[in-house]
Amino acid sequence: MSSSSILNTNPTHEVEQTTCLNVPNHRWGMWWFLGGEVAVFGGILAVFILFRLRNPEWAQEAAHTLTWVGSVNTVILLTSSLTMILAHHFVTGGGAQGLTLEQRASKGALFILLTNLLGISFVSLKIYGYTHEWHAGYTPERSLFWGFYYFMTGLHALHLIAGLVANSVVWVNLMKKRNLQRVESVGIYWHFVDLVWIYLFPLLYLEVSSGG
Amino acid sequence: MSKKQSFLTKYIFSQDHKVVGVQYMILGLLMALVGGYLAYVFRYQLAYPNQSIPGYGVLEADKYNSAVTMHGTIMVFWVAMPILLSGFGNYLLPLMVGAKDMAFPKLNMLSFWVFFVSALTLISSFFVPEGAVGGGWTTYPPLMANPGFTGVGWGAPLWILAVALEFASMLMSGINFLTTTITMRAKGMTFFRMPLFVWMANVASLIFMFSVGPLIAGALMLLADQLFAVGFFLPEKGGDPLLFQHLFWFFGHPEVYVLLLPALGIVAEIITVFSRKSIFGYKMIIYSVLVAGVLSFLVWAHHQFVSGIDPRIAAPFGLTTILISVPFAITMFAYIASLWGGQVRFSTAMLFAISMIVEFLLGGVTGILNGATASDIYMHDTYFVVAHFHYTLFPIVFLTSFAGIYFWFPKIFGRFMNETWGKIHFWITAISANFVFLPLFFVGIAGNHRRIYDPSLFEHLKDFQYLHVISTIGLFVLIGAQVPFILNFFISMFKGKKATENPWEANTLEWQAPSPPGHGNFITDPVVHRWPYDYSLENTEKDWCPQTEAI
Amino acid sequence: MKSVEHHSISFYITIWVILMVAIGASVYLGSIQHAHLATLLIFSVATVKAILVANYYMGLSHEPKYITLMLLVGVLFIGLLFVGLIPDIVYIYGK
Ligand SMILES: [Cu+2]
Repeated sequence: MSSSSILNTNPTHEVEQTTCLNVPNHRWGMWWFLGGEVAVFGGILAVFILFRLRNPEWAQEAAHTLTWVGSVNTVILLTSSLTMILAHHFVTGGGAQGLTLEQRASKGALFILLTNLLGISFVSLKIYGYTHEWHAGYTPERSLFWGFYYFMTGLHALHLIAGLVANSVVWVNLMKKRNLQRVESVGIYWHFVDLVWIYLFPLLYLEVSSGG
Repeated sequence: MSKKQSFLTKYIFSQDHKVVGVQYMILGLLMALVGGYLAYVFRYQLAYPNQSIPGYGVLEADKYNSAVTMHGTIMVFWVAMPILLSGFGNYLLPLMVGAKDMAFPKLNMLSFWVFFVSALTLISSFFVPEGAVGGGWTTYPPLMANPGFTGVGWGAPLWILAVALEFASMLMSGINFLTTTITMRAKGMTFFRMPLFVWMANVASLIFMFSVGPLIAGALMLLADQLFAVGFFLPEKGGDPLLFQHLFWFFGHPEVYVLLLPALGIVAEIITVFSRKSIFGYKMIIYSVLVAGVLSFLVWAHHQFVSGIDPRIAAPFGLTTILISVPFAITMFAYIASLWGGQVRFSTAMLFAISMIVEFLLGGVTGILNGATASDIYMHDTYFVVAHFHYTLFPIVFLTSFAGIYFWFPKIFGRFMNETWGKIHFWITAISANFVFLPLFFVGIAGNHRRIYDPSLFEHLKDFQYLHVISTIGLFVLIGAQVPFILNFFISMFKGKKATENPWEANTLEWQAPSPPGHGNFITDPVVHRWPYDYSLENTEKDWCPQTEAI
Repeated sequence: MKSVEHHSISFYITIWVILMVAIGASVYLGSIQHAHLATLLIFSVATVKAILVANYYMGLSHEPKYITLMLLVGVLFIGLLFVGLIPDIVYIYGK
């Protein structure tokens, strides 16, 4: 704690905040982190697309993923992004002037909670989809498509679960009226996880009938 | 300023960037001992096949594979990265830009401890059933994708886990470097007044950040292959082993620059101080490095010329490989021009820095033979390649680290290292390294494949066995030369001559802080008025001019 | 903390409505017969969704252009990897 409180009162630090394009440290850090994540998921998506182009017959495999699970999960995830941005909206004062710290924190906490509930529904539905598909015989043994399917969605789900943990930490912070700026950091991350899903959904669930 | 800290929070779980930096350096040096020991073991086997190795015993063929694999892995990921980028970067970067600490001190502490766990994970793989992985440091599938091929059940997944943790730790460092450089520079420290080391560390972090992602993906896929037999890289399951090579080298080549750039930064700081001249072509060096950074993403397939890639893509990759030597040639000439006509002070740090330039040039020039497709097809996977990259990496990793340690030791510990012992260390190290690596060029041209366990089994190599012996004896000397260094390091820490704030009469901001700097670094916040390379100006009494001095 | 410029709640909800419509469009496009056209349209729609989320939910539209540029450089490098892999993974030499 001591060193970070030193940092917050560091004059050079404040000088640079204004000259550095008005972006505070926590957001710079988050964007650099996402720069790395873009390369991770970008690499995976690139590899999958290459294999998809190599194997036109994978269109038939994609027809066996539970499209309704994918679609409903897309709705859930994009809605959770809405609740997440609203949490940020209320925490930062939300246009309405004169909200007290308590009001901002408690409204923010409510919307973080909603976000997490949606996130948990996403994971639950995902697990339902996995068991259903697995028991119907769609395992990596069948074709490499399913290897990619479980690998990509699994890695995405792990990121989402990490997001749930981070959100929970921020929720506890908000209940104690502390570290309100953290909502923004976890928010950016949450939306990124959402963004990855936006591409996973058509790639894995929506393969058009005669292949690309 | 802050409460009294216990030993534990001050030296072990510290958030102070300086302590974290030193922790990285010391752990890196300890890992270098492991890597060096492994080199000793397999070099002994190569020179004197199948004899009992003092301090090890007889080296079985599978353990030989483990030894070379772990030597490469340790030296690149657990020695070079932590010392050059995380060690020097953490220690120097906030000081050089005039900040009190990193932007995220807790993340910084976490990054070291993740690195520590990764080192433990890697070391533990020696002791699991069947021992450490032996698939080469590049861990190519299908060899690595199937436990049935390597006979290694536990070592391979542990290797991947350790490397993944190490990558995570380096990404955390990189986030800190970039954010600190952007938001926490002292007043007046514009981007083009930053020391070259700061530039280099940031460009290296960026290159790492963009290149490592696909390999993280690839490593996880490899793990899935090993544990669940998914088959991403197994042809019989519809996968493709070439894919992993691409993902590996898409990272692997930029990784070379992740190591080279901080090393060039360290060398730049040292040669300007000890030649009492400003650096030649400061902006030119920065632009060259940025160009090289972009080009480094365009050359990766030159590692795969003989591995069955499409011959049509070999030509463009050969071309970009020749191109990428241009920015580095420019940088090297800028360094030599910086030395030219200076009043050179031959301290141990300076000697190491100059020897780095000389030996690295030889490594760089022989790289052209590997970059040209035609010659590479002959040289590939022979000792020629091994000699080439050791001629680049040994100067980058060891000569530069030694230069940096001798140079910044007075700042880090407030005391000098002994110069006489330093020079003894230097001369033996710099000369014996050539005895280790130069013979390998010739063995390679003679056709010695790099993964051969016992060269005496091959008729065409019998006449060249003496070269292996020279190389191994060179290694004995090289390792022996590190004893005075280690003693010098620890004795000087407590008994060395006391150092003042700015013992080398240097300009960069870290020399304006006390030696050693306390928590929070500077006594008064520095204000920067000039770039860091004003040496031997006209009409001034002293021949240096710190960045804080008004014009 | 100096807060960034604000959109109203109704703005965020409007974005969400557009996203919902886009999901519907994607699912519908998945069922049409013209494969190439469908693929093109589906990924165009996905990209529109991604841009909306990145710009307005992640807040990239408020950030300095350098940050978008940095992320795009990351995407560009992945694009290079993709192109470099096409000959070896998709159109294999001699096949
Ligand atoms: Cu290379």
